[in-house]
Amino acid sequence: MAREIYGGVDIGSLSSEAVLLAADGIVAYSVMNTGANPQKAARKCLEEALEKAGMETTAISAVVATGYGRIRVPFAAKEITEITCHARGAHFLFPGTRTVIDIGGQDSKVITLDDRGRVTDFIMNDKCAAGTGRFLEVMAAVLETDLEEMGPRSLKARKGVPISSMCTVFAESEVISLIAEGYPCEEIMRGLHEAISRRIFRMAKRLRVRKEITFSGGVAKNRGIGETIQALFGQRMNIPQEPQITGALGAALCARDLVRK
Amino acid sequence: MHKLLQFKEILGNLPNERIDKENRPLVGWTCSYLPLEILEAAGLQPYRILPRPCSETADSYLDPNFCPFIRATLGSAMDGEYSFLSGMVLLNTCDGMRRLYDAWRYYCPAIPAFFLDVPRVITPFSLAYFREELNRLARQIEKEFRVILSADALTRAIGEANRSRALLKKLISLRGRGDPPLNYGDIMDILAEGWKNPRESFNEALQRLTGHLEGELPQDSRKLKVMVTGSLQEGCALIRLLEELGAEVVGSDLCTGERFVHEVDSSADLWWSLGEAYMNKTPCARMYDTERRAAHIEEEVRRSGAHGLLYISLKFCDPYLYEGPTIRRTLGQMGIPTLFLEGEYTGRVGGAVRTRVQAFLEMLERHAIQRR
Amino acid sequence: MTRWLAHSQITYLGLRPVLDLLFRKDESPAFRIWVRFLLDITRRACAGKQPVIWMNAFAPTEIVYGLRAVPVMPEIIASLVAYLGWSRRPIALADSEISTDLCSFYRCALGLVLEDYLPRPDLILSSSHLCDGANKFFHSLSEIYGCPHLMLDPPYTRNPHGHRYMVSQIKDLVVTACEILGVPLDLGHFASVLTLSNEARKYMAKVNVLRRCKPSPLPGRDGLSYVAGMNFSSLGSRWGSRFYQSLYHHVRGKVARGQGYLQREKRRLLWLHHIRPYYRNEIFQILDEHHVAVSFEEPNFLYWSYLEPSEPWESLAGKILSNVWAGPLERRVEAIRKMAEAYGIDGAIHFSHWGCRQACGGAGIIADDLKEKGIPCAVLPGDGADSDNYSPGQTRTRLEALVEMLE
Repeated sequence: MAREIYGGVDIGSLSSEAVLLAADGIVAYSVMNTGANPQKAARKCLEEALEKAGMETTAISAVVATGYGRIRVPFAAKEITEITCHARGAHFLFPGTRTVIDIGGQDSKVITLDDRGRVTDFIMNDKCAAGTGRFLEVMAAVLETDLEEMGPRSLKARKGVPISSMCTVFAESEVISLIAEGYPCEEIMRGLHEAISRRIFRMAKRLRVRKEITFSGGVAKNRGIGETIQALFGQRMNIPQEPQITGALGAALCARDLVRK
Repeated sequence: MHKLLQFKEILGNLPNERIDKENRPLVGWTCSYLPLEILEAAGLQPYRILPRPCSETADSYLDPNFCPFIRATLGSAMDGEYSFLSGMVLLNTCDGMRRLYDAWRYYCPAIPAFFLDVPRVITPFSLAYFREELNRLARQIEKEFRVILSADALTRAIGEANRSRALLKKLISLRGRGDPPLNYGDIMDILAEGWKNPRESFNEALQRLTGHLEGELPQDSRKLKVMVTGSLQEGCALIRLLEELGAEVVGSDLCTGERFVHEVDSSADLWWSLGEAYMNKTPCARMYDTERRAAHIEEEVRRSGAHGLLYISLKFCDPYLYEGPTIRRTLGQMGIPTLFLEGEYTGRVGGAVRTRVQAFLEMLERHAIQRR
Repeated sequence: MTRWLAHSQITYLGLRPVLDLLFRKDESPAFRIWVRFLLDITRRACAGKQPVIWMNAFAPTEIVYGLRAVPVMPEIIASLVAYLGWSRRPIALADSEISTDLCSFYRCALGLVLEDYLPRPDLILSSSHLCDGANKFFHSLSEIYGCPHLMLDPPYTRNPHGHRYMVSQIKDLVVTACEILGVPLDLGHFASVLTLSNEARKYMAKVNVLRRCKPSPLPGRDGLSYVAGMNFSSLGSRWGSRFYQSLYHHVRGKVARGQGYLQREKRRLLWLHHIRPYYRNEIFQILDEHHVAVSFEEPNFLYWSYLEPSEPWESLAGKILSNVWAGPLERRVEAIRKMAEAYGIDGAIHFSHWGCRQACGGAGIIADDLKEKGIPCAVLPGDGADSDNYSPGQTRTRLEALVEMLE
């Protein structure tokens, strides 16, 4: 008997992810750049995951779309916000999750959920680049280093140079000045990581944060941020192996709910 | 800077007790419309709130598009930086302050907050109402701190405060004297000391400083003169910047500057006199009468011979932002240019601000040369 | 040319039959009364036969009608201009004068004023109890038009002293207004104005009660537009009384037939703040699609009681001082709790209008309070009049996330 496959696609403004889910877990997933056309990206992403799984489109019972580009996915049975999906996804991976901190390329959010993975409250920052992956990207360019190196290198410094600018654009100028003044790059990186983490921490404190905390989104791959946020909360966080697909996973779970209803 | 050190030395050498919380509870205040005499008469030590310019905590609780000074104040309070305060007096000066009072009660309930209403208009009715408000505040303070605010204590406090006002006026008139000459930045720093020390010690130190300075000769200055008006800024970085760039700051009515009250008449109804004096002080943009503020600035510019006006407004500060065009126009009619700067509460002056101020001074220089 | 048209009575006389025809099929006769009311007061403001008094939304219109003057309300005009999709130009003009961080309604109005599109005032009247922007904007108008600005400055403290102060201010203002306008003070007329206001109030209260019924008979989008509009501008006039009677009959009919404004109402929301975006936007469409009704909105909360016609100054003082959005936040929180219970709501949206510090500063506390009662409240940042400040994607995400939380 063919097993039931559910699809979830998360179309962000920068990156898109797709997850194929079966009764026994994740079958395959894919991550790619969204590019200029979200519709195309959704399709391509799902196809890539199917290819990895060695399956055809017909194998999927239902697809749910989430993310910024979710309203342009014609083959999705339903579109559900990334808030609900991240909560579901994180809860599936770590059933003890009651708080999700998601830092993506262009936004960051904190979500609280109940023991069934349902959202109880949320707070979003989608107006300001500071506190998102974009901030790190900009700074990596200024510091002439790869984005992936920022985290590990930041942990090498014993202390961080405080960055006082709230705004990404002004922080960039500040970093340039600091480099010119001769501060070691690692210390600047650490300062930047501390600045982001503090922002997220403050945002999160607006909600009733309960453990366990799960950290998701592209920026969760950055160990420097992870360590700093954990230090601020005074507790360890769950970090999925592939933190970028939490949204798509949640969408796939929602697809499963739809079919089973 | 030198003058400040001299002043601090004088303060330090005075045989006066430091503020001791056990003896005099510290009560925070933010707005110069509050008659500090009320707190002093109740045996409390007023403590001026000038927070660190960091506001991340408060952004989620108030609104990110809010006065940076207010966000920083709430943020610092929520971070526990004001746990040494026994109370906080907030005034109904603007929308932001009203919401701060609400947020304070919800999120920092450990520090009791008092709220004083301040009319926006100056009429016999409003002065009568303000008198009752001051009374109401005094009764609340008496109840909270279990003290009696006697007429004698109030008279004494008013007397001492009158002394401060006279001495500060004198200090300002001695600007330019001494070696190095007393400049406006020094005056701002000395004013700031006044908010951290018991009034008696402050007055004593001021008396001695002005005594020294009186003996010195005034220095002739051919510098460009700039008047400063506006709301609030951490420290006095912009004033220092102007001085560093070679201009002479001739006056400032920032909240932390010359928001002076005339001598309070303690021979009549004390509460009435206090209220009347404070309502009629150097106007703030939150008052209804823009024309009065414009006339005041015009008068000050004329008296001091200022060549230009620096108008500083905090971001999101509705009163100061709305009044900018009127002030600019009034001074424009006198041929005096205005530089309008809108910014954060932070005292750190970045390259962008420096460039603007420098360009403004260069422009004033050209104007001044043309006039000679 | 457009300026001449804007100031000419003929324009408004001519528009009436056109709009009557346009809105003939509109199912709410109350809406047509609103349109006629607007045309009528604008025409009279241009006609020059009555004194023209500019006011802000929270100054009591009973004063203007009591003086036999015609009110012009720049905030409402700004919302209409935004509705027509014409607000970008005046806002851009105003932005060259004042900061873009200020309320877009005042910026839009300022732009219209600078281009002289509005009927010129003989007097400007405002009340300071809700926001600084109102004080400062209206005061700056007196400089631009060269006419007096009288301002009510309601006290924060509501004790006998505060009450006395308020009464004396109103009396003083009316006497001064009479002097400035050269009109006699007619207490009899004031009494009839207050009577009309009471009549409107009576029907307003009835409508509010009817709206508790399920399904919601009146859309929140309308409550936030013309119903609130009449609330702010027509009380004390015959139009106001007529409007609310008509609205009452309309809503009663709906309730009697069990007709909600949505085909299927799954959830009920409360809209917080006095305004919504007036330019074209998808907010209500998204909510409709998800079968979520906006059952009630904050501006129509009835906070004042019967006005005694023989005591106009006392009554109006009482009305102003009962305003729940002035004074300590507890009053607003309490009012919202009452609304939440009365209307059986499942969730709330706080529309945080850019530049509106008095409302947005309290959003966090209000949201916390509702959440404690198990009512999710989403803060929706946006702009009421400036379409450039509208982010469709972000708005949709927040609304849909709230809807998903309610499921």
